[in-house]
Amino acid sequence: MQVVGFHVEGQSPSPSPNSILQDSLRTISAGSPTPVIIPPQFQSQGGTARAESGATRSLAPEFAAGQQGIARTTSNTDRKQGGQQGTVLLTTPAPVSLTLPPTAADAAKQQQQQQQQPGAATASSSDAAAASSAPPAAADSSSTSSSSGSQAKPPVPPPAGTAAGSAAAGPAAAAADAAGSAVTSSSSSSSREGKKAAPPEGQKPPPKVPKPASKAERRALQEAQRAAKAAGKGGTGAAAAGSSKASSAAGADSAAAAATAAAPGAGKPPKAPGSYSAAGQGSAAAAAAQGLGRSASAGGGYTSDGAGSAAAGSRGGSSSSGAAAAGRPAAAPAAAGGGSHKARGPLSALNSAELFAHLQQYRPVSVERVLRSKEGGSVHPAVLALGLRYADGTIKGSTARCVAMVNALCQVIADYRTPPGKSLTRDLMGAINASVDFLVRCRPLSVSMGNAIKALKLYLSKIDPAETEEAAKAHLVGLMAEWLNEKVALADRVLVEHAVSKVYDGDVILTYAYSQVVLEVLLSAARQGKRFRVLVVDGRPELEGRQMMRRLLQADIPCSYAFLSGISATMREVSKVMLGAAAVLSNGTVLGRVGSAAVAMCAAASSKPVLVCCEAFKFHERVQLDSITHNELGDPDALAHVPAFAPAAAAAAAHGTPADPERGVLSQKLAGWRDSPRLALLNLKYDAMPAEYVTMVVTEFGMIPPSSVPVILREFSESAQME
Amino acid sequence: MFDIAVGMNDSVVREFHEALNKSPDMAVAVAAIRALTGVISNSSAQTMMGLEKELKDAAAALQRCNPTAISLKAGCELFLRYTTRTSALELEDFSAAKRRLIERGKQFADTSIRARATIAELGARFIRPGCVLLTHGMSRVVLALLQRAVASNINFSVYVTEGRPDGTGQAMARELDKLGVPVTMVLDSGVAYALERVDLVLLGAEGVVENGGVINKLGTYQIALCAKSLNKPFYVAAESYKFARLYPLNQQDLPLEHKPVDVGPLLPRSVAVDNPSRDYTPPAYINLLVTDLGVLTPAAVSDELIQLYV
Repeated sequence: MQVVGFHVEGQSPSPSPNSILQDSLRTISAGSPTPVIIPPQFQSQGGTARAESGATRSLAPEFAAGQQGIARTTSNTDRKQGGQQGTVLLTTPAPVSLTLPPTAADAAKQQQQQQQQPGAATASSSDAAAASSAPPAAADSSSTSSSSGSQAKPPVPPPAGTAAGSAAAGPAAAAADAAGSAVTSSSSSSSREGKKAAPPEGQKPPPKVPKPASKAERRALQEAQRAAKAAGKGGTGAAAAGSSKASSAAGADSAAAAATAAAPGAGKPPKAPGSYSAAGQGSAAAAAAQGLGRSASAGGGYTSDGAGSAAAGSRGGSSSSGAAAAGRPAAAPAAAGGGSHKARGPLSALNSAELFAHLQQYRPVSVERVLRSKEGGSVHPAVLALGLRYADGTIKGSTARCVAMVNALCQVIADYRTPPGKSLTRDLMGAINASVDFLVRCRPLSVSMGNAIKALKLYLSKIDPAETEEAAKAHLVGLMAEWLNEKVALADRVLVEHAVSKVYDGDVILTYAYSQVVLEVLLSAARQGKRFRVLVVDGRPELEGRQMMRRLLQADIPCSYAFLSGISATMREVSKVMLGAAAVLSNGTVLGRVGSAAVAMCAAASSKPVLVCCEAFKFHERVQLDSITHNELGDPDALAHVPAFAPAAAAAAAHGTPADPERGVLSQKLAGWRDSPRLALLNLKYDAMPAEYVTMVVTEFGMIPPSSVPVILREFSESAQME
Repeated sequence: MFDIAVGMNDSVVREFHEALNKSPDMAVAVAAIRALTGVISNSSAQTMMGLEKELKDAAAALQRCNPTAISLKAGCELFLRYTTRTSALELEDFSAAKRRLIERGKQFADTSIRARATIAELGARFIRPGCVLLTHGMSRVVLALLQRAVASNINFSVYVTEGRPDGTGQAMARELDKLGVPVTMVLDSGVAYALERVDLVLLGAEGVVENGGVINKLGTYQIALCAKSLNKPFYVAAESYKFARLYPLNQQDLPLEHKPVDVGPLLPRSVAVDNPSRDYTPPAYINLLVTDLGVLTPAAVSDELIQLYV
């Protein structure tokens, strides 16, 4: 799959506000197991975050940029434009002004690219620009640093005293570029395992290249380029600044050590895979503004960033604890900067998983971690318990999660006491937000939960300030109970009635995974004496269809069970397809359990009607055309585990990994997948089925075509306004 | 009380049939709507609940006259919905509320009667000079539309399908010939053959369903499929009282209506004959619906129905 520079244009109103997103990102491991591409809308946030925290540092290169000659400035703008244009072939570097001959780093990189990746030698132009702009200093250093793998050893320990001057950034930047090429060559293997030896190609000494006039000039030039890039991309300058400051680092070995030391201080998830995430965290902490953990882990990460983080990590060794606080918030957004600049490593570690790097990365939640975390102590016990149940999957399904959340929030409200001198409306809003933030950290919100929260906040904002606290709380809880009753319980009943009218004798109904409301429809149809058969189609890794099948068999409904992979063979006997949904969007797109889109498409291809059962409280105004912009990542390890049937269990036992009753056994072919630089496991939770595959959406308002979802939303919101 | 109600319903049905006999050009749904308007004014009920019940009973009685007619059912339902969904029901004064209902009933009947003229006005714009149409079955609203186009001096010609087994195509051809429109008749099976010379397809509908698809005389669906594959615009002219609260998933999901058919004496006895009188055309094959509410896309039909029913 060729993905170079992932750009999501236009709107992306998220179901969770950006604050929540950032908040949650902040606490996620800076290291993602997958290379990172961040959509532009997040990049800008990352840029500002970095600019803020690294404000003083970013001054230096910008100042330097101001002092540079006009010729260089033009070359910078050239490059900047190239970067904005999107993608170019690496073999045709971005326009370089006459003052800059092709450099060693560039040549070496090209060589490597051609050797290792002849077919896919593309990169975002900014990388091409970065590579081509790397002056001979970079070339020099690249020979040294590439010999030591990705560890980005600054070749010339810079005089610390010159840090204030523009010249100071030079060596660091050079190191950055050098490491960049090294990172490119060794790709993610180097970033995953800091001390792992670089592949042999990384050690190739780059050819000699004519140098510009003086060292000072070279340094200044680099800074100018960096500053221009920063101006163009917002925030990259901070990265350069970070590396300039950090250039006093002794070497890469100490960088790795410092990074490892910094990691515990930053309170990283214990499950974060090995040294790479530790290194990422350390660098993030030390660089404060940079936080390039994710791009560092991203294999062929942004050249200067990759090096910057390593160098910065070494510097931050002593002060890592202090810097951690600053580094952590910046970590996730800062990765955005690296994302779009990403160089295509020779290994082309780009795989489908990195398309999803902008999503909240999966992070195991455990009781100890929650209790240890800052917010763990302050959330209401009911919310705490709920969050853990979300995380371990004992509560799942958008309706169940929504109902459980409303109940927990009602407990929060009931136990809430307004602190003296504060107003209930405002302070309770804060308490609810904190609870929701915690829940998001355990698992991202569903659309249903988002709508429930919206309703709760609307009710809360309409509370009469004259009401006493007890009365207001009772009022609020009453309203939410009513909301649940009307929008969920009653809606379900009416919906089931509508849907049952479409079940006929002799039907063969295909359903996928588990949907509470579809189950109720089928049970209700069976109670009415309709004779039909159900084909339960299931998919890995959740295998929720088994629960569906069990419930149907309990009601004496004849069932067949098949996997999604066999659906085209079984589709012929089916008379209609009935699916649940996590959400229905205003363009008619249905978000469902991952795999349901494939079911719908296959049904549409065989001209079988597809009925989607979805209550109106799961409707959302958003428009979504793909499953990429909004989705949820599950535990990638779930893919590596297979159900513990006899041969797999025996094989696993032979390798000393006994079967886990919940997850099955670890597939031996995927054991240790985290150590493989070219492998990332993608466990998506949802997918989006386009409206054209949906014959009807069954709601409590009746059966409607998917094109009428906006009508329901409109009428719905009007009635909400009238209340 | 029971007897009174039955007598009432009898009179409604009688009124309905009389209206149809008096003017054969009148649509059954319009006749039913008129009859229902009469129910309100003749009602002896003293409460709103009673009146609503009488209306419902009368509507049920009317539907029993022709249980498979979609437009009759749709017209009755829409009338009930339209008249009773008014703030007048909250009025305390029953006679005032009743007056309001009669008013709304008359209003609905008037718009229903005017519907055909409105559609003719809106739809004639789609007939360009020199264009070639294809139509299927006998539709009074299509005829009115074409009449209107002729009246505005637009020259066009029409392909008419034979319309087996009830010969509605022949009736249509005769009517068009009276208007002086050049008519060509093709076999029902010759649609694909003729379609490459056709500029647009224009048909009536027996009912318009919730997703904007139409139920119409058998053969409509295959004409729609042919038109789609040849990229010919497919228009449907239908009065808004034909908007039914139906949502067929596929052809099997249609309310059944079989008419006896003569397939000739040569068929062995054991051969089964499946002769439905109508089929369902999904909205994906329909470009526009010309209705008295305006020219709508299929999705807009659903919008109108949701606003009325939800």
